[in-house]
Amino acid sequence: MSELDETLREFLIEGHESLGQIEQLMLSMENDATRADAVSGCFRLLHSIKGACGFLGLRHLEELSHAAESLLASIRSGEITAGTSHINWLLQAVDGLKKLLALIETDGSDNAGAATVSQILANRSSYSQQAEPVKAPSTVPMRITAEIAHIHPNPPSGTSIKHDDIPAGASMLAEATVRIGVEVIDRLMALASELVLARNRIMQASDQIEDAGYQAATRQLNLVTSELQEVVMRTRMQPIANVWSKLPRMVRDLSRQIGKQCRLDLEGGETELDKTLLEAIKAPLTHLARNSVDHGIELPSIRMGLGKPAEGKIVLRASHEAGQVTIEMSDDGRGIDTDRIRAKVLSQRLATSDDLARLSDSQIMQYVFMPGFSTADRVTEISGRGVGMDVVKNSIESLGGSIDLSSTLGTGAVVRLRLPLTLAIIKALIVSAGNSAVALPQAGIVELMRLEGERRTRALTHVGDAVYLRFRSELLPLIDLAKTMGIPCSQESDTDAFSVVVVHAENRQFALRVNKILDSQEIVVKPLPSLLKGIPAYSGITLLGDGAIALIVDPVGVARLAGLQGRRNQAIRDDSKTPELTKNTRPLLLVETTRNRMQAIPLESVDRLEVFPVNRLEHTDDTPVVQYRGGILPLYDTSGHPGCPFDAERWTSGTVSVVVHQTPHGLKGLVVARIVDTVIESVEETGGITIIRGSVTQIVVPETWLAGVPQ
Amino acid sequence: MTETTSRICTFRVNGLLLGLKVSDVQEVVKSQHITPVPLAPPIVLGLVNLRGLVLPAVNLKWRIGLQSTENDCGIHVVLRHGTELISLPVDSIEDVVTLDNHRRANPPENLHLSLRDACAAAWDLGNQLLLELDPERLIRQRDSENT
Repeated sequence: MSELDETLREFLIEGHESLGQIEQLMLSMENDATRADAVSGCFRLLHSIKGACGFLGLRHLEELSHAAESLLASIRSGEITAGTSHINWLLQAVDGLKKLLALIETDGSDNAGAATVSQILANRSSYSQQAEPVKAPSTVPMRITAEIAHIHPNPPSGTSIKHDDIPAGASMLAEATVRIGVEVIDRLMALASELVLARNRIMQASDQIEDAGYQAATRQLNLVTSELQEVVMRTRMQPIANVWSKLPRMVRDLSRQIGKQCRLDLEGGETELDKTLLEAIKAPLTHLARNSVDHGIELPSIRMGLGKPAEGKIVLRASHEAGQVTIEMSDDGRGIDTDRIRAKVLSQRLATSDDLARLSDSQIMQYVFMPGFSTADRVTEISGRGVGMDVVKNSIESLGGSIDLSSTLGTGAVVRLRLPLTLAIIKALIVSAGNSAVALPQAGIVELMRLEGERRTRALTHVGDAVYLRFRSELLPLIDLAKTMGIPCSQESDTDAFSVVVVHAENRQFALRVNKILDSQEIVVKPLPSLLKGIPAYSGITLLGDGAIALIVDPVGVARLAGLQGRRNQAIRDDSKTPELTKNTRPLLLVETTRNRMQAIPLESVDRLEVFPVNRLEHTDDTPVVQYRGGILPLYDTSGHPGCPFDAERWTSGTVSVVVHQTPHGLKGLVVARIVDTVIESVEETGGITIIRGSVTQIVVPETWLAGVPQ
Repeated sequence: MTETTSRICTFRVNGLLLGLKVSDVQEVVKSQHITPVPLAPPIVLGLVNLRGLVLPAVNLKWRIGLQSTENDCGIHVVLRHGTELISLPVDSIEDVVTLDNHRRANPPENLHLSLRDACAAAWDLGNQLLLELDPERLIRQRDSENT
């Protein structure tokens, strides 16, 4: 490839990026024409495009960007106050510039672009003559010609960027970054993953070699490899703004098309995600934005009647949260009408009215995600979150993420997506099924159980050929992983112990039977070879520490193979009723106190559960303590008065069970005799007494119970 | 300008002399443990770990309609296919031969259908026939399976 080709290619990549940014800035000008930073931002970006055109000999591109730049210069200097028609023309010009870039990409020059440019230049009359309804106080008559000076000599106050600053700022940016092809990064990533595996094997082997120098070198290798992997991972991370920069324009155009007024605000565009994830969420995000405009936001006249501003507002917000990325799209439209969903569910006979009566509004909304529910006639009318929501949900879930919908009728809806940061490394359980070891992604796993002896007999219910697991108050279908996948296994007897993995996926729970849970580790996900693509049971391959190959099993795929279909009524309800999570109920940890009374602690206040040997207890003036996670954990006894210290001298057992509670002043430990279970019950905010499972139970809210404790 | 000779990497399966263009072969490796893949199509024998890369091992004998024999000597020909690598377990590895292109002929009409389908050409070596495999067709499912 010649030198010029390379330069031109770089220019094109940069040009496309700049135009994306320009578009976004212009839309923000539309909302607030006086936004000096937006105007100068556009100006600066256009200016550098124009500058590059000069030495690349792109005449038409130069002419058009010059014209747009001139208009921006006049806006910046205050000669013109920008109105919708100005922005419209500027957007036209941006489209024209895009067309020219596409032309250059195919032809290598913009010679064929003369007609496009002259037409757009001719369209300038559309704004220059027109009196504009503008948001700023007055319109200054303007003239726009190619001769207008680029920069007004005295920028009005508020324009912070001077022309002189432009080249310096631009070149600094260029020096700090290097463009690298994606395939190079992918290769780096693959090599780093291989290095990790080699490292793991060396670490295993090094246990047998007792040489201090060798041991030190292995440790060094270990550290450097981990860091290298992290850095390479980071190179794959890109700000989410790259994906959603096109959305405001789409929302603007779409809403105009259907006679609505909508604005899309973006927050947290700097939030970074793995490149592959970014690509994968592009379509779902577009879909959600379209849905909001099409069905969520009402027509301006209706909105005015409801006392809402005529312009609908959609907010797209991204942030990092607990090792995950949260993306939230909220609108102030009409919201989701659960009564209409109920009616639709009944008319499609998806559930009986008895079933529906038991469901909370948020559970009713889950029907929106059902395939078929959305494609039926006029379902889009139901608050409009119908079309293809099942597709959105599936694509988010296939990325290991979750989607969640909430709405208040009349005031809007919120869709919340939670995604992992990267797909390349995931947490997984290594389990044995038959004579194979497979990996199960940890996302979606609710609980692990070992069933043996009498416990096994009690937990299992046979219905014909099918086996159900009694789990909490529900019966979950139990899928034998080895049998379903056809993994050969030795003959088993009815009393063999086995492990169960309870999985929550696609709005239902089911249980997977495995022989044994071997390990939990972070695994590097490798894609399936194309010969194995299309087997729903697998989502990838990984290599274990000893170099053995393990298949990554997709529990949803296995469930399908086992014949679990549909997403409703998968769990047969046990006779005892299941209270649902509503405003007044919450999950509680049921414990027995040191004085053999029952207490319940809200699960959200429980940080961890620990057991300490009594000889680890140390004593201070008022409270016994243990050293815990590099700090001091004071121990209290909830069977006493609020804030009562634990009386270790009276304690006869060799260990203490402790509920660890996080306070703003550090961790506190609540000693209990034993942990009984978790339940869902309604509780008062502050505590009180209730009946759980037939026993009088005191609700202990650590926040209030510990309130009197000195910090 | 076309080459006048071809370099073919040759190997044997059930006594049959087969070959692949040297340019399609990445390497020949020994003693690869094959991890079986439940639910895999019959053409996939399993997966092998080649220095941290996971490759599918293709069941060559099944693909070209030969009897499966328990003579796993653990020699694999690693085949380049696009950006992917594919492992091909064989009974024994022979040699790399350079052959004049005028000796290249179409595979004989009377070959077993699934074998003929996987062949790109036949080379007359004087005392025996070398069947050159077509990597692209080789990793497709057997045609008889599709009908």
